[in-house]
Amino acid sequence: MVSLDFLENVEAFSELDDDQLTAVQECCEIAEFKRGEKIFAAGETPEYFWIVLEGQVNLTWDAPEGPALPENTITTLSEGMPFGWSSLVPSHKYRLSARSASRNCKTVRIPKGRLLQLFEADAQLGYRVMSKVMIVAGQRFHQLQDEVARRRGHDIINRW
Amino acid sequence: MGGLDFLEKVDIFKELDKDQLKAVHKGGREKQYLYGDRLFAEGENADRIWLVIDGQVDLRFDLPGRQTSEENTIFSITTRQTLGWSSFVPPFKYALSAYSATKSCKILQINKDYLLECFEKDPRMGLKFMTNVAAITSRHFDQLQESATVSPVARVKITVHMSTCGIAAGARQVMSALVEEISRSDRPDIKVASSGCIGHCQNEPNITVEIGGGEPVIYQKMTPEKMRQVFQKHILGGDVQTEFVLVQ
Repeated sequence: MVSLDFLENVEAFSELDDDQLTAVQECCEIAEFKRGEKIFAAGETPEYFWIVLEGQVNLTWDAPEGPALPENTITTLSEGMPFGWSSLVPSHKYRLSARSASRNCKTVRIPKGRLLQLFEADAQLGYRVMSKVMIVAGQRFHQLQDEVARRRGHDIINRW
Repeated sequence: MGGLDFLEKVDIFKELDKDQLKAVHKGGREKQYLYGDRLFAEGENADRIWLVIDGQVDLRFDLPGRQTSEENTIFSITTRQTLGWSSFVPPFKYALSAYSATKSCKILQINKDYLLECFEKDPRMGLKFMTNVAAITSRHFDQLQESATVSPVARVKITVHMSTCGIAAGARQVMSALVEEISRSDRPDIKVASSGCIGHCQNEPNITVEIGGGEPVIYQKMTPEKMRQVFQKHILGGDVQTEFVLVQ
């Protein structure tokens, strides 16, 4: 069982009160991965919202059908950091791929259906979580945007 | 122009009820920009969202010591779309610069703090808004990934669907009119492609217009005259010609 202390330190849940945290806690499952093991791939239908419990996770921007290349790593996540935000929006596919980046990587996963039910039952909980999820989504987007601008900037300068 | 009828069609306010839309509308302020005007600059404090009422806004990255150019466009935002969601993401700075890309561009600005006050009073409204913004971010993610793999020069893509049924309905004449318009326009960023049938044979000839990674617009029952109008008003002017858009 994941502790309330752990959950309240997760940015996405940092504004929830104890009752709301307990409701989230009841939905949590633990999943473990070995180094390099796939957690999910870009394009897959997302079933879970994830949090790193122990170890590290690499989020990579992989070309469709292409291999996972180290230079395509957008960010490395450590304890308490959430990922898989696209599970909570009506797009229904993961945008990036996630792999374990440490020998033993422990994650907390929350079935998206259960989390969305909580949002429906308690709009304040939903708003608080989605405000934070939006921040995570925005940060990932900015990381990718910086990478694209960097590559495009290089192209333009090299052509000049 | 930027009233409740407009707001209910804006992507980030999808599924808000009338009272919620009224609350949002109270905080809005309309502004007009001309071609090339900068709405905001990369690095400035992001404290409001911007809704495009009319026209097109390009989001560009600036290169030190160089003038802005369409080549630097990452996204184009058109009618009923929103920009400025950086105001909800730390460090609350605009990550790109925004420029009016049409002769005239009408915008509705809404202050972030005003919206947050509304959401505190009505968390269900806040939940819908944040979910909509995250969904838009998700869509932009796809567009950004796609744009990273194509030439920065090809910003506009027009696909003429030249299947047998399309050709029988006059797709070749539509293509000729398009090529003529492009050669007159001197716009190297416009790329033309042809492809097969999209399954709407009774509505051929069809064309698909994609601008700067934005949502594709499919036009139906095209003629050379309609093609010229779409080229002048949508591709060059930023106004989608809704009367020709394919209803799916």
